[in-house]
Amino acid sequence: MRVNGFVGLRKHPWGDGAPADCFSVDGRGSARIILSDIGREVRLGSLELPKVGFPFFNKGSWCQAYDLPQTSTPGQDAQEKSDSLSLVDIEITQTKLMPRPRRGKAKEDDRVEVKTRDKWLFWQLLRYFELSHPDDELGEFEAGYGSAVRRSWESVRREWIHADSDEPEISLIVRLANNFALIHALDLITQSPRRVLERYRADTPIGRIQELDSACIRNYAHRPGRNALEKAGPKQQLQSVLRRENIDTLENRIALWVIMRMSAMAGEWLGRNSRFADSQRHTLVKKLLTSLQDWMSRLTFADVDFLQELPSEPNYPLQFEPRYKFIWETYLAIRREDQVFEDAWTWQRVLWAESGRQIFHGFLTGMWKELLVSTPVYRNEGLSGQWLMPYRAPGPFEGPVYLYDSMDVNTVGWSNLWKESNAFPDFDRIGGCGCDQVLWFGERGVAIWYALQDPSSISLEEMIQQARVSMDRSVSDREQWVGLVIAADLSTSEQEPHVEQIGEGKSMCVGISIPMDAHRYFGDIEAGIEIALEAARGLV
Amino acid sequence: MKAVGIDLTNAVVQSSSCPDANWFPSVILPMVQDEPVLVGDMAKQHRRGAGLSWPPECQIPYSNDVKFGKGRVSVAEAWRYLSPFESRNLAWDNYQPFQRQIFWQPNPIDERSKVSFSAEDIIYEVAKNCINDVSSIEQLCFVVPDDLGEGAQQALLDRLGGTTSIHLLPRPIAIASDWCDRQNSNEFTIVNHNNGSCGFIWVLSMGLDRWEFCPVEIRRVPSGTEDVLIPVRDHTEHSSGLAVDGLSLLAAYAIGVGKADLSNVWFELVSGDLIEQLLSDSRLNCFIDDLRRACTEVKEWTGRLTATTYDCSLDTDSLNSEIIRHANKFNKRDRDCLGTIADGSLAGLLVGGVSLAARALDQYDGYDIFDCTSGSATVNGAKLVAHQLQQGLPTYRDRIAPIVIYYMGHDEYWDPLISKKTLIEGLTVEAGQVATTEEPITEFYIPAGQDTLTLILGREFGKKLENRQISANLREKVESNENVVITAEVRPGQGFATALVRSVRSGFFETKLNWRTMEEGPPPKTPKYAWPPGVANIHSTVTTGGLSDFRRVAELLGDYCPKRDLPYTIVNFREDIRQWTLQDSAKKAYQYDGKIASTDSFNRFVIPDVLKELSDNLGDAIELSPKNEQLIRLAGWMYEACPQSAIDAAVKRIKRGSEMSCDLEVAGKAFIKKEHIQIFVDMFAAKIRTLKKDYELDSNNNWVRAFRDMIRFRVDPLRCEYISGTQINTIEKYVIGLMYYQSTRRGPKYNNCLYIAPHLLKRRRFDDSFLALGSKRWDEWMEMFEYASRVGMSRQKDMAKSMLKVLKAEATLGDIKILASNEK
Repeated sequence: MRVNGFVGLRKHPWGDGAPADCFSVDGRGSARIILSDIGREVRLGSLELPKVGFPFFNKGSWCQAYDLPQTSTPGQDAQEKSDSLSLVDIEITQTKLMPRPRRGKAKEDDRVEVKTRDKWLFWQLLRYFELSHPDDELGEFEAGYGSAVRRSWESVRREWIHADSDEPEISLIVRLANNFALIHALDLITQSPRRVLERYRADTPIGRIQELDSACIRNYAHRPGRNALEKAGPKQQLQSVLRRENIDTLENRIALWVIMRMSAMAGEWLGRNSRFADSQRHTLVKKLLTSLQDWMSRLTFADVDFLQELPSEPNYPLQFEPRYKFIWETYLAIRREDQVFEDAWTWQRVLWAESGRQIFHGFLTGMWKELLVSTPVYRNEGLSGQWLMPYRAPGPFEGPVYLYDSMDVNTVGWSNLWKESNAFPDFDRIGGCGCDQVLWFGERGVAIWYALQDPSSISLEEMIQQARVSMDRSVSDREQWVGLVIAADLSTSEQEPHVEQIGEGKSMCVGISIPMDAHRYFGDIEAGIEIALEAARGLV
Repeated sequence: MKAVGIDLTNAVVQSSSCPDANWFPSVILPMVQDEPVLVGDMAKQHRRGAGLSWPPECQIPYSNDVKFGKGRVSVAEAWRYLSPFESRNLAWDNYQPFQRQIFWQPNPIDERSKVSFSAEDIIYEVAKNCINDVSSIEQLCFVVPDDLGEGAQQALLDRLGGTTSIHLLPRPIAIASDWCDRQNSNEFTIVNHNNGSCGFIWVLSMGLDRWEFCPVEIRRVPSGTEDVLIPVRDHTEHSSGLAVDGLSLLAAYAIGVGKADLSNVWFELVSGDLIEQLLSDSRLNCFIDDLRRACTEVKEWTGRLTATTYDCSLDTDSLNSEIIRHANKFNKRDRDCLGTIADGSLAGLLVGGVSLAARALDQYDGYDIFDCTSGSATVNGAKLVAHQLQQGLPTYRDRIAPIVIYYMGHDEYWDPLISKKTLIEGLTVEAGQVATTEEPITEFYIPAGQDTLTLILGREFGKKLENRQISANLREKVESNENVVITAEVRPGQGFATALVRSVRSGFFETKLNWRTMEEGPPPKTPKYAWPPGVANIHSTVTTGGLSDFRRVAELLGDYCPKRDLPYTIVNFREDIRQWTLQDSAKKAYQYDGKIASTDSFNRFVIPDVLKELSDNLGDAIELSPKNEQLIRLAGWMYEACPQSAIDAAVKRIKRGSEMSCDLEVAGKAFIKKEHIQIFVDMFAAKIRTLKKDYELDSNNNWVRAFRDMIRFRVDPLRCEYISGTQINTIEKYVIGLMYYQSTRRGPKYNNCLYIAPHLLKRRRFDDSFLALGSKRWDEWMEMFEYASRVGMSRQKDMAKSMLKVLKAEATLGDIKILASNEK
């Protein structure tokens, strides 16, 4: 079956881009869908698909690749998920998707590869948290404002490559531990929570009855007897309206939820950062955990029930009562962070493409001198896996050497302008091989891919072979190009970086698999990148 | 450092507070609205808007499309936004920051991504960066283009902090101040001892945003024991700005000398050390042909300042003539000229072996440049003026464009008239000093029932009067007319003038208007007429050649003998002098040409003695024959030259009730004294009352005519002290009643009523309640004239239609002319 606009599905970024009559794809790699350029947003299910790679000209029309989301749900086994694709009315299926981690205590039962993947995503997110929530003094060119932070490449290198091991990670719980207004509010609330007078009905001795409502009167009427004394029975009691104090309110339930979540977060954080016991952050979080445990055990809060479902709208006290306003803000922040983790799972392919760039850009700016300073800008929260605002690629470098980034091309409304840009030879074809960036030396270029490498699915060597074939097919002069695949190593066991190379000089392709905690293997990764860059530069 | 001068109008930032600054004044705009801008060294090092080909944020303009703006904005561009060439010939501008924003659109497909700044924001950011320690500064002089209007001055001052320690210094004055400081004042001779003027110098400033070329008066004034020279700024006659895109010219020069090409010149200017090379390397010399070629290339340059229709800079061959044409406007070329000086980044660049400044003026001997610097004079001048202001030393003076305020006054006839008073006089004041209204304006009041006072101001620039209006709002409406006093203050060159509007009644109302909300507007409109303005006037057209008749009649009257018949010549003469013709005057109605003037008859006669002799002889004759109708009638037609004996005789007979028709002619045309007029009116009113509205018996036609003459040729008879309210109401009712009665016949009586009606309305001058709009009587008049406008002869209908407008106080001069031209 041929569907208008649908060009094909790819398990990995590279491929031949030929029309496909198969709407199913292995979900273990960097799966993407190719559509002839329709100029409108594309959705899979309810999710808008982000553009990936350069737009390219293929068989008479412009095409564009879109990243597919990781739509699996928590579970034990590999999953198959189908969703309908907007505009072209077909159903796309991803197979062998890794299940999501479960939340709460059930998390312990997750498979080891799920836990590893979660840890890998968390490792990336932490880097972004650090960069987008600086608590140190900002350097030259750096500035924090509203919803974003402008950083220098030096900060990026420090975070991704030369990670400072003296400081434990910054995450939401550290920021909350620093929020003394919140801590004070929690202390006050657990000491003296907000109470309401609750109405209830109960049998009351006749002499103490103060108020009857319609239900009491109905009850009175149904009782046997001719008068009140007879209806009151032997106990001389009738149903009446009574009032009692109640602290099991929405605001207190949310406060309890916040305390419990903070407590869990603090416990996890302390576990992860136990080696920084002397640091200020560690002390702060530890102290917070002690306080949280103390607050949870307070008798005044014993009657507050657990939150059954997570509300999205605050009630009056949460909106306007000074103490509870902090609680609501914290509740939202925690939920937002939950959403950030969910988002990172959904868009882990995009997230890696962003993170891989961070590592590569860090190396580049460390190795080469930019003609002028560029400053990456970080959002406070990721957006479909993207944490940087355009323009994320550094450069141009002395030479001049230009780094063309497809994310920049696609996210700032540049796709259409790109089509007329004539930035470098084959600018209109290179997107066909699925590369994410092009480093252009004036006459030679390096095509760069950022891909996920699940060892159960593909080896690094296979990846670079396929990438090279695809690159050779996409360009008019294969001798002008070198390939560089920067792959995220998703092995469950701890690995060192691998560097693979095929070819020499012309049409060479280099692959680097980067494990989590890349900074520990700085030398290996740098060597791999240098091979590709020197090869390309040597061709000039 | 206490006194600081800053110049952000040249190719490098110059600040006496930050002498090491050597960067091109530009600002890097943020990607999102809250992101802080980058300026100074950081801007020089940053890639955004640096003119590279990739990534797009480096491109100039962004995305290679001007509609998306630029990620980096030069301060020269900001100056052009603040002071656009379209407003350079205005006395004041209405610059509003929110209306004119500098923007770029980081996301080409999303207009919401637009990030915009006002021009003063851009300038403020750069200024902030080149002041090291704000707290230590006592006086800051900030160089600005000479054409910066008051709105823009105010916006800039507000942004810079709005304190009196910040002084905006026009660029040519900064240059002239520096020059004055370097001269020995004893070498200059005072040519005007009233103000110490020694003449003037021509100042050519060659900045990046524009050039300025203007004459600056130099005065020698005492300072302590010595004299010093000071410049006098006069921005009240002509704009000094020349639409030269200095930035493009600088780029063309860089290309012309081979230091850059079109593709990298922006990059080299904003990020490299090209500017430093161009300004400091004295070996650089651009051949004129190379410059010409480079200018042609630069016309396509994306870094160009927003082009204006006036731009002449890139046509090197016409640059000279443009400057000279501009200079000729000042009309000062040869008078007391001390010479020409030039300063600015572009001034010292060598073109064909001579400085660009000299080349720009080289064909004209009158502008030989004897002092040429490359921007140092501007900043030195700024620093100097800052020091002078701080120390209270003599500094430059500034001439104020006078401000007038319009108000509704009254002319000699008590008709409404748009008048104006000087709010601020066109004096020169010392820089930074405040000029105030010398005599507070007291002609204004807030009318009862209104809560707003609108002021209309006028100001002259280059002989062109511009008007603006501004309103003061009260919290609530006033119950009765509230008189106010208006005073104003202005610090020339330092933002808006302020006006203080204060109620005369103590503490009732007081507001300060800074005229930021001024609106452009035409001059105040001439009020509509509620009565015919002024009085009817007969102008004497007799020339000396036409006096023979007057002399002949005087002679005959001198020989008058009661026993002889009156010579026919005298009768003919009377018929001759009673002829008028309506003047075709564009500005006034009721103006006639005749023999004897209706007012001030003697003095407005060609030879008063001739008329005097005639009047005297006629008076003698009337004394001999006080009942001679021919003589009395002739006396009446002599208006104010009417002999007293005729007036006395007429008064006597009218008072007795034995008046002749000729007496009424004298009364109508020659009664001036209050008691005479009152006698006439008393009798006329009595006659009307006697009639008891039986209009069939009416025989007051001559009285009506006499009264019409009385009120059309004179102002006073309708005053309340001349004619009471009861009397005027009686006459008014009689006229309308008679007119109604005669409306089916439309004969002479009807016409007489029609003719007198407009003149009766002049009573409104002195009595607001007379036929007040909406009153019962007014309704009756309206009804009468609405009817009259539909039936009758076309002349009568035209008059009635015009009368309706007058009654409604909506008449124009055209309507009044219709009334006048149809009156017989």
